Amino acid sequence: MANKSENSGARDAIILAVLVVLVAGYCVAFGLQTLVWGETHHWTRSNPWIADVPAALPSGTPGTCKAQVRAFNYQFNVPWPGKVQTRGTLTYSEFRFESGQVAILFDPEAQSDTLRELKSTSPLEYQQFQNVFVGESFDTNYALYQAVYGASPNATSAFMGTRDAIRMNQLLLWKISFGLDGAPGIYSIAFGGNRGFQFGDPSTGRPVALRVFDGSDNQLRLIFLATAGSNAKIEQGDIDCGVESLGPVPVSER
Amino acid sequence: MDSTKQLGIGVSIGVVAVLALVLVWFFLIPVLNWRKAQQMGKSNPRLLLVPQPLRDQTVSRVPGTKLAEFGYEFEVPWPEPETAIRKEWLADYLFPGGRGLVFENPAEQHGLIAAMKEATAGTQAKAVSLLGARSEYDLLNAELNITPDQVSPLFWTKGGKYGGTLLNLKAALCSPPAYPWFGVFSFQSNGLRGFQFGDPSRDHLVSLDFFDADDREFRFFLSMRKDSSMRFAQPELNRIIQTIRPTSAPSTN
Repeated sequence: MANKSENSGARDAIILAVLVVLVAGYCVAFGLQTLVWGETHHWTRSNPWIADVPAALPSGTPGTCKAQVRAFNYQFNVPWPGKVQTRGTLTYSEFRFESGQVAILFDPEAQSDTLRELKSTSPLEYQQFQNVFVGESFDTNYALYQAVYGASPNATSAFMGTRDAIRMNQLLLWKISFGLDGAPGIYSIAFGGNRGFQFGDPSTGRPVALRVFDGSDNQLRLIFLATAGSNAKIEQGDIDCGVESLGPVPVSER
Repeated sequence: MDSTKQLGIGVSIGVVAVLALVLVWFFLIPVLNWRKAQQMGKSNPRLLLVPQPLRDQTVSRVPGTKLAEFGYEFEVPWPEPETAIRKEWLADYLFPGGRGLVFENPAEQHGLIAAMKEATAGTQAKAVSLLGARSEYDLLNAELNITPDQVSPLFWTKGGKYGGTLLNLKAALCSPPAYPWFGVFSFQSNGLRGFQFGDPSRDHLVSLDFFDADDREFRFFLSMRKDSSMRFAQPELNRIIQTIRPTSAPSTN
């Protein structure tokens, strides 16, 4: 009877020791990644949108552009004819169309050019900054925003590499910090040399915000909305028209 | 198996589960947070940056302009603004020379501590604290001053309890577009305490974020056009800090 009890006790002790070793091994190998996985999913509770990644817009052709507006030495086309009221401020220009649509262009000079600033002011920090994104091409502002908005808690795993986990942790914190310019949905948009991100869906009737990077990686921000109380509508083709035509005013016309 | 033995097994499992939870919560998570902080520090050097005391406290005395918004008034050492846009949540001025100034409505600032105080209003909670901070200033101060090496693997230390979360908040605050600054500076002046983000002699964008004795938050953003060779001077910024007061309050200068 005593032998049986001793054997049982020894077996339990061995099982416990094996369990402790297994748990310790897991913690050493995957503990940090598990922490990142848990934390990033926890952030989703208060910021559910961080699980959204840019989706492709339904393929379509830009609407017929009928007018052109200019501000800050940039121009873009819109499909709304008729009179337009322009109000310029320090940071943005607002174009109010007779038909009720409104387009806002933010001063491109006031937009951050993160990579250029980092490269020019602190090459060492730029080098270290690149370490966060090891394995990813990261030479443009567009690539930075793509990496940030493309990050999602769903892309984390307890079994991913340590560096990948730290990178995803950093990207998601930046995603929360960058915020959402419009809702619902984040979309990728690209026409010619212009590419970027669209926040919001015009079919919902809510304002749509865009961050567009031109061929020279300048950041251009636009907002399209309909005047409250009007019957005006914004179509995806209208936005595409603006993005496709967005570019600098020819030097000879400035 | 008799009921006594079943009860014994149940108690054993319960004790092991509680012990495991205690181990995970008080030992494992702080150790993992500490390890993660070391990795974050290696990949993001900005996390090492902490506020430095603002050395130049001199105030520009050149003739300027008094502005009043949202129940407060302050002075700037520049001529009248060329344009001024007022909205419910901010006032945006453009001064001669390409100087831009944005003043956010203090009544529209809603920090985490204020949100927690609202959430606990009417309950028995005597004091609200978040990550050891009881005011918005304390929280921002803790965020800005945490560095990866302060995160401790020991739960019973401040760095063990709050370090990991504070470092995450700082990492979000240090996002690249929002943090291209040459420095963060702290100041206490005119009954106000807060921070200046950016060195006016080098950055074209500088912001001021400070709090009064009632923990009311004031935020100013000063920008110089990128193509301008001009920069703000520290005494110009100090003029704003030294002169802001409620519209009805008497001048202290």
